[in-house]
Amino acid sequence: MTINKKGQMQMTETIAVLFIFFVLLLFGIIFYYKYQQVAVKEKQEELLAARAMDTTLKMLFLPELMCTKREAEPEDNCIDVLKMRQAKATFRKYMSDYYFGIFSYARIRVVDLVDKQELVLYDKEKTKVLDNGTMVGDWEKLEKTYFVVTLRDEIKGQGEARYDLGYIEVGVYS
Amino acid sequence: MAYRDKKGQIEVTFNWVYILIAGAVILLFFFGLVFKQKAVSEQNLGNDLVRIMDSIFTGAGVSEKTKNFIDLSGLADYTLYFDCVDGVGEYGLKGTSARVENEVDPLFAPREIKGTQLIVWSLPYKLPYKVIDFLFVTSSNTKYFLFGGNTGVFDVESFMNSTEGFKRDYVTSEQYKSIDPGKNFQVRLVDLSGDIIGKGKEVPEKLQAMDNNKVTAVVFRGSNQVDYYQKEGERWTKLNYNTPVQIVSLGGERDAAKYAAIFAADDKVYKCNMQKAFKRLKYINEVYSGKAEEMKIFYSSKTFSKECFGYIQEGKPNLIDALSSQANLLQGCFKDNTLSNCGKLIESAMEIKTVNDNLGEKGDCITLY
Amino acid sequence: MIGLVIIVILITLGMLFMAIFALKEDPQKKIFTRKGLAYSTVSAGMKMNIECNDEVGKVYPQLGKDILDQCAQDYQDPLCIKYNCEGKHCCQVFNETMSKMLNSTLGGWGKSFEFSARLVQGKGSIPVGLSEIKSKDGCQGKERDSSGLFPIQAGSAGLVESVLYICD
Repeated sequence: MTINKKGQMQMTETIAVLFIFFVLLLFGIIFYYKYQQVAVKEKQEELLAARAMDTTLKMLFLPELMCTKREAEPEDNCIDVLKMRQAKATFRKYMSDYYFGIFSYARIRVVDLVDKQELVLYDKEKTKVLDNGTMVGDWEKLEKTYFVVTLRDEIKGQGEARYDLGYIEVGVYS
Repeated sequence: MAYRDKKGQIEVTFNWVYILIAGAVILLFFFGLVFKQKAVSEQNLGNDLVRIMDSIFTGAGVSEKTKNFIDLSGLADYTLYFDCVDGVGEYGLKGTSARVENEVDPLFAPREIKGTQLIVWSLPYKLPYKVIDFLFVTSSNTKYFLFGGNTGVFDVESFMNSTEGFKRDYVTSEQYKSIDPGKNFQVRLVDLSGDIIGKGKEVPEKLQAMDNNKVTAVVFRGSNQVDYYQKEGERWTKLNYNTPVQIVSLGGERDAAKYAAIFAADDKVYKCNMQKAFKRLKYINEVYSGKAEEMKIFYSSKTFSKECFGYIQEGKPNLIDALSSQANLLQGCFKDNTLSNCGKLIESAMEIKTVNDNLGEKGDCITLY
Repeated sequence: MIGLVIIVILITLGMLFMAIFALKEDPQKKIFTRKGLAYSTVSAGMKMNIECNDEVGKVYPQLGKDILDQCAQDYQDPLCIKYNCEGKHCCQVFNETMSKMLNSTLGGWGKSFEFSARLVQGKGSIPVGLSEIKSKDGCQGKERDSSGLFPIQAGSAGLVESVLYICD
C-alpha cells in the first residue's frame, strides 16, 4: 500500500474510533439523564410517604381529639367523640392560621363503623384556578394511610364510656 | 529532505500541543463535574439531614416521656443551630441553607449543638388539660450543673431521675466555685436557690476560659420565675434585663414549663416557644368549651344528675365559666410577648382542674378531660 | 473484539443498576404503617363495646376485657356463664365479631392478615388456641409485621395472648 493510502486508512480509523467514542459518551449521558429522572421521582415519592407518616402520627396524638383519663396516661388509638365534633369546627376556623401548618395539604376522615357515619375533619386540597375562573384540584396523587381506632362517646353510653369501632383515613395530596 | 524533516517536527510538536490542550480541557470538564456534584451532594446531605431531623422530632414529640438518643458521629464536624423569633422556630445546619421553620411545635434547645449524640425528649404541657408536647433537644456534650438545695421550688430528685442519660450533675452550693466543664462543648448552670448567680458576680474559675456563649445559666427566683444569665469575661451578665421570665404551670412532678426553662437557650427562645403553647391552648380551649356545652345539654335533661349539671354550669366554680375565663385571659396573654400577662392562666387552670376533679370524684359524671 | 468488550461492560453496568434497585430495602412508610396498623387494630378491637342481647336485656361488654376474658375461662364449657349474646357462646361471639371487624377494615383495604389468640395456662403448658382468623391468602411466605402481644389476664384461667400479623 502506498504511504498516502495507508495514511488515509489510519485517519479514517482514528475518526471512526472518535465517532464511536462520542456515541458511547452520548449514550452514557442519556442513560444518566433517564436515571436522574427516575431518581427524582423516587425521591418525591419518598418525601410524600414521609409526609404521610408525619401527618398520620400528628393526627393520632392530637390533644384536640385524644381520649384522656384525667391525670392518667391518655388512651392510645382512641378519639373522644364529644371533642371531635367541636374539633372539626375549630380546624376549619383556624385552618389557614394554624392547622395548615400541622397537616398541610391533606384530607382527614373519621369513619364510625357501628353507626355507619363519616366525618371529614380536615380537607385542604391543592387547587389551581383555570382561565375561565373555575377552581380545580391540582394534585396527582392522594397517598392514604389507615388506622383503626375506637370512638369514645360518653353521652351515647349515658354517662359511661362507650367505645365504637372506627377508623381514620389520612390522605396527603401530592 | 530537510523540508520534510521540518514538516514532521512541526507536526509532532503540534500533535503534542493539541494532546495537551485537549487533555486539559477534558480533565477540566470532569473535575468541574466532580466538584459541582460534591457541592450538590453536600447540599442534598444538608436537606436530607434536616428533613430526617424533622421526622425524628415529630416522632419524639408524640412519644412523650420517651428519650431518644440519636447518633450524630457522621456529622461531628457540623453545627446544628436552633432559634425562635416572633413565634416561628427554626433549626438547621449552620453555614448552609438547609433549615426547617416551625411555628407550631415548641422546641427548647441551646442555640448551637455540635457533638456526636443528640438527645431528644418530650413532655406534655398541661394547663390543666394537655395542650401540646414540649420537645427538649440537647446533646451528650452539653453539661447541666444543678445546685442550690431542694427549696421546694424545684423537685431535683424527680429531674435527676427523669433525665437519666443526660449529662447532668447536682452539686452543692459549696462546690459551685470548682465546677469543671471537662471536655464539654457548652455548660448550663441551674441555680435553684436564686442567690448564687447574679449580675456582676464571678463565674467559676474553670469556666472562664470557655467562650462566653458556651457558658449560660438559669436562675429560679421563687417557684414561677426565672432569670437567664450568660458569661461575659469573668462575670455574669443578665440576658432578660429587668423583667423576670414567668413560668406558667401548675407545678407537680415533671413540670414541662420548668424543665423547658432549663433546656431553653435564653429568655427569648423560652418566651417565643411558650407563645406557641398559648396559641395552641386557645384552640384547645375552644374544643373543650364545645365539649362542655354538650355535657351541659346532656345533664340538663337528666333529673338524676343535678349535681353534675351544677359542676358544669350553675355552681361556683363551674366548668363553663372557668373555660370562658381561661379564653379571656389568653387574649390578655397575647397582648405582648413578655408573658407577664400570662401568669393569671395558672388560676383559671386550677379552677378547671378543681371542677374536673369534682365531676370525676364527687359527682361520678362525665369529666372534661 | 473491542466492541465485544464494550458491550460486556455496558451489560454489566446495567445489571449492577438492576441489582441496586432490587436490593433496596422496604420503604420506611410501609413498615411504619403495617406495624402501626396492626397495633391500632388489635388495640381498638380489644377495647370496643359490642351490643349483646342477653337474658337481662341489652348489655355492652368490651370485646377483649369482657368477652375474650370470659372465653378463656369458659372455653371448655358449652355455656358462657357471664355473656350469652343471642344465645351464642362467648368464644363464638368473639370470633365472629373479630372476623367481621378485621374483614371490614384490613380486608376492605386489601391487606392480608393473620390473627390469633391463645390461652397460656401456666409455665410449660401447651397454649390453647382460642381464636384463629386469617384473610383469604393469609401471610404464608410473605413479609409481615406484628402488632406485638396483647396480654389479658383471664382470672385464674391464665394469660390470653393475642397477636395480629399484617402482610401486603
